[in-house]
Amino acid sequence: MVELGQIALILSFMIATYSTVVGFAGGMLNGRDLAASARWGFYSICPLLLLATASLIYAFVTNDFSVIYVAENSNLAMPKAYAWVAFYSGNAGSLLYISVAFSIMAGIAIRVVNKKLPYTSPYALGVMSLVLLFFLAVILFLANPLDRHQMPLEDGQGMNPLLIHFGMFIHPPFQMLGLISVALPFSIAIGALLAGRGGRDEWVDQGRLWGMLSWLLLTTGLLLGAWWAYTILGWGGYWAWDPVENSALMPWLGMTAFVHSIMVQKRRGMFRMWNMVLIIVSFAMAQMGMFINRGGPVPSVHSFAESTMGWIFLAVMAVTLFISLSIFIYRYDTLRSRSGLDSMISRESAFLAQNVLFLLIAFVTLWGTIFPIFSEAVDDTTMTIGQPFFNKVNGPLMILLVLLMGIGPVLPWRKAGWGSINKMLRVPLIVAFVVLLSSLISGINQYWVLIAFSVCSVSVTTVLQEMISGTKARHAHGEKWAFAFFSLLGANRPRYGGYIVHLSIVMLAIGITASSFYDVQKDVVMKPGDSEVLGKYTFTYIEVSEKSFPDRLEETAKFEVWSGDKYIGYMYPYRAVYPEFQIAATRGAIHSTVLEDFYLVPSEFMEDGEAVFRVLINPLVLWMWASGPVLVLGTLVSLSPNSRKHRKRVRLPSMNMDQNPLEMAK
Amino acid sequence: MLVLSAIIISVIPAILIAYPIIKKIASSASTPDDESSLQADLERRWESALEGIRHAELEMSVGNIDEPDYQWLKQVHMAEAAMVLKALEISIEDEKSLIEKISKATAIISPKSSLEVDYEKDESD
Amino acid sequence: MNLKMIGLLSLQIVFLNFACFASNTNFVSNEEKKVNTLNSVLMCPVCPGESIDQSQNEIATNMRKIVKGFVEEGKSEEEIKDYFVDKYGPVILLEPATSGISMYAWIVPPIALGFAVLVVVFAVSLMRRRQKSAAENHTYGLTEDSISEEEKEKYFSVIDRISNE
Repeated sequence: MVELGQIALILSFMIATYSTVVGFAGGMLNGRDLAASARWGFYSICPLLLLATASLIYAFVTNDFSVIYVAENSNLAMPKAYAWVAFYSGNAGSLLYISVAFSIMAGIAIRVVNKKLPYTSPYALGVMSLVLLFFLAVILFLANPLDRHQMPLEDGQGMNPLLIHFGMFIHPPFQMLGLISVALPFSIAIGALLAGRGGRDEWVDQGRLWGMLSWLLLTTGLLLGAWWAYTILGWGGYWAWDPVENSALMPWLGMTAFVHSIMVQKRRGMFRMWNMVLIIVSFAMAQMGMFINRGGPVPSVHSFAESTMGWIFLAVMAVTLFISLSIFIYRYDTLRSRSGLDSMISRESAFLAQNVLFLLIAFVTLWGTIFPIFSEAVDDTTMTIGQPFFNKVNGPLMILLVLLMGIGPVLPWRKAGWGSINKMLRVPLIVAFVVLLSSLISGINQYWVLIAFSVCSVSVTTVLQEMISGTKARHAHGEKWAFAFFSLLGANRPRYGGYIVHLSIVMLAIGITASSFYDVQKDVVMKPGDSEVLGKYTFTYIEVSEKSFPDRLEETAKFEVWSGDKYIGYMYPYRAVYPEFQIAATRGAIHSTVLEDFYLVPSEFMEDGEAVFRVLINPLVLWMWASGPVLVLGTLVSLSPNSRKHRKRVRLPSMNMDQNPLEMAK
Repeated sequence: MLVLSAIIISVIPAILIAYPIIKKIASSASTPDDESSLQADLERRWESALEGIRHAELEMSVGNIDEPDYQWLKQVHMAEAAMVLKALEISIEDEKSLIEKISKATAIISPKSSLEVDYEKDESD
Repeated sequence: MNLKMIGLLSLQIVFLNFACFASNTNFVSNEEKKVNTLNSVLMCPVCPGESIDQSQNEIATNMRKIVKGFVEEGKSEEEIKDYFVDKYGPVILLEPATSGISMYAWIVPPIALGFAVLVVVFAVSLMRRRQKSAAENHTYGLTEDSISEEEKEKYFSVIDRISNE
């Protein structure tokens, strides 16, 4: 089985080489048969890589420890379901995962692109094949998960215990999927650049589609990662501005800018160069993300897939950046905007400001992340920069973004007179003021929180105002309220889908603000039988039970918890010690309500069951997790094509002059 | 067994790669529309201008923008759409003159070229 | 307007419910707050990037105890930070200092912000200028002036009809 997987890998490598060369050749020679051949070859890579994956998972399930990768990442004690997690938990396996996932996504993408953009598609295919080729080359020559030992082992080393968590089934796959999927809009953009002869807007619809899908995957990956950190890393937080987290955030920032500014190109034929630059930079940042995760130069707790090949990724990133920018400059002349800016105050300029702000945050994040390298080079001291710096610098910038998110969508395209601005912003500003007052009344005294909440309320109100007045207008035409609302959403999905996403971002922002400024944390030493009080919560430590497993020792505490007079029940936070790894994994017990989370986590067990517990009250955290599904929903609404009834697409008369409106008008 | 499966998994991609070239499936199909042609570009601009008009009307009916902004927006997008139609007309005229040139040239060889017939039929509509 | 008022009021009610967490900070003593703040700005020396607040490592646990002890003794935040800086060097602080090499960490973001503002201003003025001389961008060199009034009328009627379909 493993040997068959190896053969499949080698074959995929050969086919990817073929598809790259023939794809570009097909584009340049306008050889449509060549392009089709390259494309069909590319489709066949996917089943081959699935075969290689299946053979690796089979090796995990059958405990074939003669395979080095299996021996390094699993052992006999590992539950069989974790074969899937073990598959991508190490460096070599995660590369295979990325390849197989990319081959599937790119296969689907190129099929669609080929229908819509027949002249761009051979080049896009060439770029995609090249990306895949790189990963396959790294797998085959540097980190092959299917390589065997000379001497078979009795038992493997086992998987990093921090990874044994339900969240690991979905967070890393999404994160890696998100990072690599940036290559899809990138390939389409570069393909259009290479193929380009004319207007430069032809790739916009496809770029937006795949860009948004990629954005969705990145966002999901980030949220799941935060959720995973919150429930397992046992310190009660969810984001620590760690290098790996930052490097996943940067491409997200770039892609968020991209999915917005691509709309300007679609509507106005502007920002053509800017979009090219954005997607090129985003892809570079995605490569950087994979680079830092793979044993890059910056110390991080997350670099689970450690190896020295980070440097290869860095080199490839530099080459990619160089080549794509060269192509960009080569085609520079075709990228001039169709029109300019009509007014300083308009949707377009709001988009521009938002874009620059996103890039600024990405840059500051990058700066803080690579600062250790900088200080090492200049001063010989590795100064690590942590959470406080990022909070102080990025926090205000992000509040500014949320403000723009409130104002931007209500500015009309092209030009906003003061009359319109007054109409749109009067109510939101009143609401913001009311919210400011009511937060002051309810005792919020941190001025950042006051600002953040007021700004959030502007965003919420503008979106609600849009939805309400739109529904009202439809209702006035005789539609029932509910019907009016849904047909409003249906009639302009990109727009209202975007609004839903904006609402989810506000939920996220409120959750982050509240939980980072008004969280309460207390360390308590308790003996079994002790009771403590934190806020309205009374919790009694009843007992601790120990359970020994082959690989770990689990100590589970039992708590009885009351919230005021309300009985909540038992909570079981636990801590597991893995002697082989010298790692302790704690799992908090969380009681979530709409308003706050009550979070219990053991930090140390001592003699006689005496233990140190960390107790936290984190306000509004549930809203952050709830924003995820809302965000996915909004993105899907926004991506779904308008139904035929609403489309009303008016085709221009074709050159052969049948149904020419000019003729008809005579 | 391994050899057999290896042969199978290498033959299938080989067939997939060779088939389009041998059968010429792509080049025998009709030539697809060029997405970056002038026509396609005009179409996109036409659509975005009309979208702009509709958008302005929607915003106006909802009460998001005031009258002067609405008038301005509508006027601007109308002008853009008109520009597309004008460009289209010119390009059609271009094509007409091209066809005329070709038919004149071909008329020397054969007086009743098919192009001429088609062209006249279209004109009569 | 009715709807808007209702919306306003309900938003405020929702909000007042939410903001009940504002009293949370009274649940813990000032000493505990101080300990937590210090824990989150001190780096765990063996697990780079992680604060001792986050880390499950034994060294971090011990450092937390030291911090707690110091705070109970009544030492100030600065004194405690200085203690750890003396012991491990300035590397131990997660928040870069405002002097020495770390100063650059703080200087660069404002410069970048200034640069970003310049970029926006420059891009906007460039695009404004382009709008005023946009002639060559249109196909066949068409501008608004190259369409006569009567042609315009003809086109507008076509467009009106199509867009109202």
